[in-house]
Amino acid sequence: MSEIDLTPLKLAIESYIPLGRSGLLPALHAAQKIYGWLPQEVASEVAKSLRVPLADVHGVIEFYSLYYNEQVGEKIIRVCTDQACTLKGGDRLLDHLCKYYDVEPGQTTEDLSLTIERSPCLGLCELAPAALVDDDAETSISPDFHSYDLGIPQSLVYGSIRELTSNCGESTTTLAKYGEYSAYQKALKVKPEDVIAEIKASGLVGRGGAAFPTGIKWEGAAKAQADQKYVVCNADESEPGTFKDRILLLDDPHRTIEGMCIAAYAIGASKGYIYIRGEYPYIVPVLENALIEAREAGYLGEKFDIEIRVGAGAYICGEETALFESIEGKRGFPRVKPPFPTTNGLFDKPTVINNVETLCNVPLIISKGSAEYRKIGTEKSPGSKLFCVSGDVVKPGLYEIPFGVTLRALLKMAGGPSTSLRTDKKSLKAVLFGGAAGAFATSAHLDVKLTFEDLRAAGLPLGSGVVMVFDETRNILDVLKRLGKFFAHESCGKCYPCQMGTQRQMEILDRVAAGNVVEGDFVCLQDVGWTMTDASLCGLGQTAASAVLSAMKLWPELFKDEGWGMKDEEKSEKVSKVSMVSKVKPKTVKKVVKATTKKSKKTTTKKK
Amino acid sequence: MAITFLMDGKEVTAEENKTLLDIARENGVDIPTICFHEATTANALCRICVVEVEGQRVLQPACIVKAGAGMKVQTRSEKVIRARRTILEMLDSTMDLSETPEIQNMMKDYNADPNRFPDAERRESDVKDDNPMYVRDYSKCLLCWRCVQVCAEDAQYTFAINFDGRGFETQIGTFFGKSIPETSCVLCGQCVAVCPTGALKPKREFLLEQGMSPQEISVLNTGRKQKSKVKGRDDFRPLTGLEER
Repeated sequence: MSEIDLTPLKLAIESYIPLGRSGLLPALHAAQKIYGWLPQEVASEVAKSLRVPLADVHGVIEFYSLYYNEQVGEKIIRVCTDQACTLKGGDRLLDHLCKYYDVEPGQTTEDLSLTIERSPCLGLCELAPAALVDDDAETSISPDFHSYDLGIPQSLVYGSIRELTSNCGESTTTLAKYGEYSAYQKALKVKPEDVIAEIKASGLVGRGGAAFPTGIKWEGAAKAQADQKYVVCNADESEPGTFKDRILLLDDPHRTIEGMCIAAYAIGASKGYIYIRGEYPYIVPVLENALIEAREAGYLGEKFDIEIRVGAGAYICGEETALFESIEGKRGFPRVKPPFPTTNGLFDKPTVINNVETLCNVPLIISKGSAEYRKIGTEKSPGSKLFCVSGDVVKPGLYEIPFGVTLRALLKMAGGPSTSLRTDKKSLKAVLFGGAAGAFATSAHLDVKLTFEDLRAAGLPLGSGVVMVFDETRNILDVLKRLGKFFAHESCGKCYPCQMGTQRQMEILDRVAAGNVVEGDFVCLQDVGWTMTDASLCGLGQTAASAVLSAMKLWPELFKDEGWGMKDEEKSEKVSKVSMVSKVKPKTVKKVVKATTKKSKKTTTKKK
Repeated sequence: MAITFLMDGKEVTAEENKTLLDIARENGVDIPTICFHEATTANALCRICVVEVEGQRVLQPACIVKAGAGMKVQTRSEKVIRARRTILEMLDSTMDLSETPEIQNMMKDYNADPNRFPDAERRESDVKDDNPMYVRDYSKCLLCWRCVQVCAEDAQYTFAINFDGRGFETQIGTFFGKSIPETSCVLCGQCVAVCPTGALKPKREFLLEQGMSPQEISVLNTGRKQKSKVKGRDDFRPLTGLEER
């Protein structure tokens, strides 16, 4: 152990030292690039250099899935076994690889050449099944696993309109091709408050899932008094089924950067961050290059500049305050709100944080003016929207459509079940709407217009634009089981409802999916689900049961066995007052798991 | 300035800038708490103190939410009761609550069923007895974070402990699992003082519970029997840690 040479580390992290604690994630990434994992000596050196307490460095390493405190293989293959990839054989792919290399998922080969892991959604859903091989995306893997694409993933862009995606679908749009930042230059000619007024007039709302009015957010940060303000681009796209930001950043990075420049001018920020998820390593060089181009052209520089921050495997960091914590070099725990980011955001300074797609709308609005922008879409949902269509469709991909198109029309474009593009006769079972934190739609919802207002009325969240399609042959319980696993894996563990609720939800769903339903499961799942929804600290916990609760409403029979009276429970949308549980429950053997650290569980090196 | 608002239908007048929890306590309204401690920064993470505030989409933690004029607060609505009861049931299925009489009382108050999740995975851990001052039994830890907080900016600035894992598998831990004497811990004891469950316990208390006599503990600690000048008080000589060997 003591022979670790720390010289290359010292060199690699030198530039992060002035950042102090905020340099922790970049420094750990750099360290892991050198050593393949993070041995104790390396972690202490990083701690010492950045002046971060040892225990805190350990806490950070433990929090993020992509950091390893045990030796792993030289090469790491992360196979996506989330919903969209499973439909296309992700599980079989994982089995195949593990058998071939004679390891279990999460293990490393004896010669330390390879680690194979199960991964949550990699954002490659339209190219499923997919894996991440070190920093390369391995996509469109054939059923016999012999052919695949490796490197930067392909962009499949369709739809009925090309506003946001006008530069997408080919390869990266360079600055030369993108042209001048004409919207930014136009914005600079008017007062910041006029820019905000224009954004407000456009009716733009956030595209990351929460749909908060962008102009109001900007106004809040603009009015806040501070010596320093920030603009943060949330590119931690981790909602299962979502891949729009990946395509926007890969194919048209300047649109996002221009959007950030305009936001910075509007609120008076001099510093920006793009926080991109760790599972998108292949986008980082593309972004870096775009930033260099923008600096050379004078759009970025003294007045406003942007730094890229790379996540390390934590869905929760898509939550805005958890993302700030992560940039600050901490575990990605969401903060309590209020105070809100517009007054107390990154480094406790006024901050505007917007999703990639939201920022991409900004140059469009400024260029053509809000009145022209509003000609697309509906009165209450102006503009166009990107939908990430995956699953049982002929043409999975990114679809740009104006708000107001029906779900039926979208599925027709994509060749969903029972549409003319499909040659088989399979019918539609369900659409998972809005991602893991979303809800299920069925054929009854086909004529719902895809707008904020119509979806809300139908009880469906637009979320991040996920439309994951399941035909009649699919097992909803398996889908739910994976949802349960996902949230249990991604809960940060801060607040009790989500920390324990995601675990209990997973356990019940696992059992139900295995055909082992016990009386009381329905009420238990509801109580756990509603407790997470009502009482969790952040948006993750508040939506961790949303898809499950929607499935329980649509298919209550899945959660019961013959012979139970379900009538009351089916109705109990509201509160289940009495716990009518457990008295008749068979006593199962209590599972006792020694609380080992997650790393030792996850990456056990295979014994010789 | 004083504000007036409704708590459980009754008009309450309170000073501005006070939390709902403080005001409830002043007015004899019982709102249970677990992670809250007057001496530590409130993180609103146990969510047992949640209340229903009219107009708010989700329940609000009373320990940090400030009262506002005209607010309508329900401290025991159906939603609140379901959340509290379920949280208690989940806690009971996760950890050893045997040394938390307050939580056991809460379970009775809210009709929480201790067998609600009979096949649930529990968080269990061996007792860590690695220093002269305190023992750590994380099977009893309910992750209130107080120990981590007082070890850091809330009090001692020692930064000896942080977290292992995340989500359900979170546990309080040290740098790479090192023993307490190998960390920056100064044995100040503040973490033990704020621990609500007996997960952190003074070593002496632990040994007494294990059935060791005070005499035996003295021998264990100092290598010799302690003599006190006070007759009959041999057993209670405080251990300063500076005794001659």
